[in-house]
Amino acid sequence: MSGFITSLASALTQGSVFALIALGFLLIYRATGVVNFAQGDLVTLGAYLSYWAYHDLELTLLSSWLLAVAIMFVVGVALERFAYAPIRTRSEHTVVIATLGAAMVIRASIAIWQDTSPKFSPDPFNGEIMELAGARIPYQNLLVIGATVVIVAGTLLLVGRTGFGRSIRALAADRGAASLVGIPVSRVSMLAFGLSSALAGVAGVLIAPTQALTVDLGFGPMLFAFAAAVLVGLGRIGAVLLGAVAIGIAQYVVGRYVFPDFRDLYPFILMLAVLAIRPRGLLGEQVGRRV
Amino acid sequence: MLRVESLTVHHGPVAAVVDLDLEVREGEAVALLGANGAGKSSTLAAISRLIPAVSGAVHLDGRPLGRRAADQVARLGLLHVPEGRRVFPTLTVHENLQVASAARRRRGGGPRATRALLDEVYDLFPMLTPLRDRPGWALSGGEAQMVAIGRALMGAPRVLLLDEPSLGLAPAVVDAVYGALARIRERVPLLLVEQDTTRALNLCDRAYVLRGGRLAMTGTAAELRDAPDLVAAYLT
Repeated sequence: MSGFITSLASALTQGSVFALIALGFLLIYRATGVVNFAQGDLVTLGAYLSYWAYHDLELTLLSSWLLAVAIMFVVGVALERFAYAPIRTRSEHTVVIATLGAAMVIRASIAIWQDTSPKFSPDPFNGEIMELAGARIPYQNLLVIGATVVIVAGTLLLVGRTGFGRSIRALAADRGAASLVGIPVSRVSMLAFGLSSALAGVAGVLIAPTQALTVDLGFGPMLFAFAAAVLVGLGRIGAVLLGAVAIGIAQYVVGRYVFPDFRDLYPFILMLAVLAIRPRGLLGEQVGRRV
Repeated sequence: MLRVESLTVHHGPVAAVVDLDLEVREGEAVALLGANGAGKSSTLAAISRLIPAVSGAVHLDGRPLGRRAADQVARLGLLHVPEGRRVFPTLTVHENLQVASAARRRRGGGPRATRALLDEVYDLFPMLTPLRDRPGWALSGGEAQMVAIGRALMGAPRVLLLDEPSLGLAPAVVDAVYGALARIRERVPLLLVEQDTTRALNLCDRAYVLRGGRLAMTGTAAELRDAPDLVAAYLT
């Protein structure tokens, strides 16, 4: 029983991280029609920025997190200006390749800046662990889950209920028509990239304390987040949360009991199985024509 | 009000519009007529910057638009109801109207002005009131046309460009749309692209007739109504 609870807690924690990354995918995808494969390396960058702010600038842990997320917002805006805006009118494949290029530039820059030796980040609970029915769950993991729930709810409100959210949805539906009604299209897409990158930063600072900090910290989680987003059809924000938890459960709960050596495969098997049966994803709208 | 000078537009290697001059004066409704492929829609799209022009200048209130992008042109009050309506399918009718307040951001964009304009649009198109919460993809052609026109009105247009508002609509629906346009033209100068020559000439003061991207003839609506054979010759 305690083993089951432990694996469920891992599934929810990792699922939360996947959800934050997938949410970043979704914001950019909805506003621009492009899957940004730099998302994983942005997670890594966020983690390194908080490490740097904490160790080199000697900020408090919370300020170092906030500074990292703020810088990540700016990084996202810069990414839109220099990597996306100049090639926006090209085919979506070109743009997706460009995001992969941006990913490599970010990763190489981190390696040059902070070298490749593993680093360790503290968590605000001094590594304390909660005991629940015999299972041992770090408080940091509970923070990851709680923060994700709050952020997903906040994003839902932002996109569903505010003028900015309406602009993003209008842009996603028809960029040309959006510009004809006066929506400042470049500003909205810059903000979408900024927000998406800030979300990657949040994911980065939250997972940094749970493992050794290396330059490929965010890359693996990004692949699982991609599986989660595709699983539910890159559509609704709430659905992404469900997809991410499903992927976490496939990996950590199923993966605990069935051939544990292969647990990292299960998310992708789940994704492929769903796509084979329902190409638009479990809860997807019509996205087939875009990818 | 709106002045277009020697506008030239290409679609790839093909010249869609060549060296076109036209003008819409204060209080005027002007029709842009022509056969399919005569360059009418390209003219509107180049004026609103939806597509780039090869050369030419557009002046609004005497000021050149220069190199402004489509969204900036819309915020100056030059609003374009495009071909195919292009209502946002994932937004509701009400959200489609709300989001279009963006064009008024620097010209009285406050919530009170938005509410007043929303009331005006629902008053102009009472059919839309019960459809407020219906998503754009679920609208009929006539409903979508009304939303598209209403959306442009939310931007408090100084000049309104309309691309084939009657296309594909049942006659009764066309009547409703043209009834609304007759009310709109009391306040806003119009440049109307239309296949239905009779309707357009009944609504407008003047007309330009395009053929092969060039100006073929121009005159008052009365003059063109009196020369139906000549106009018809250019429309085929």
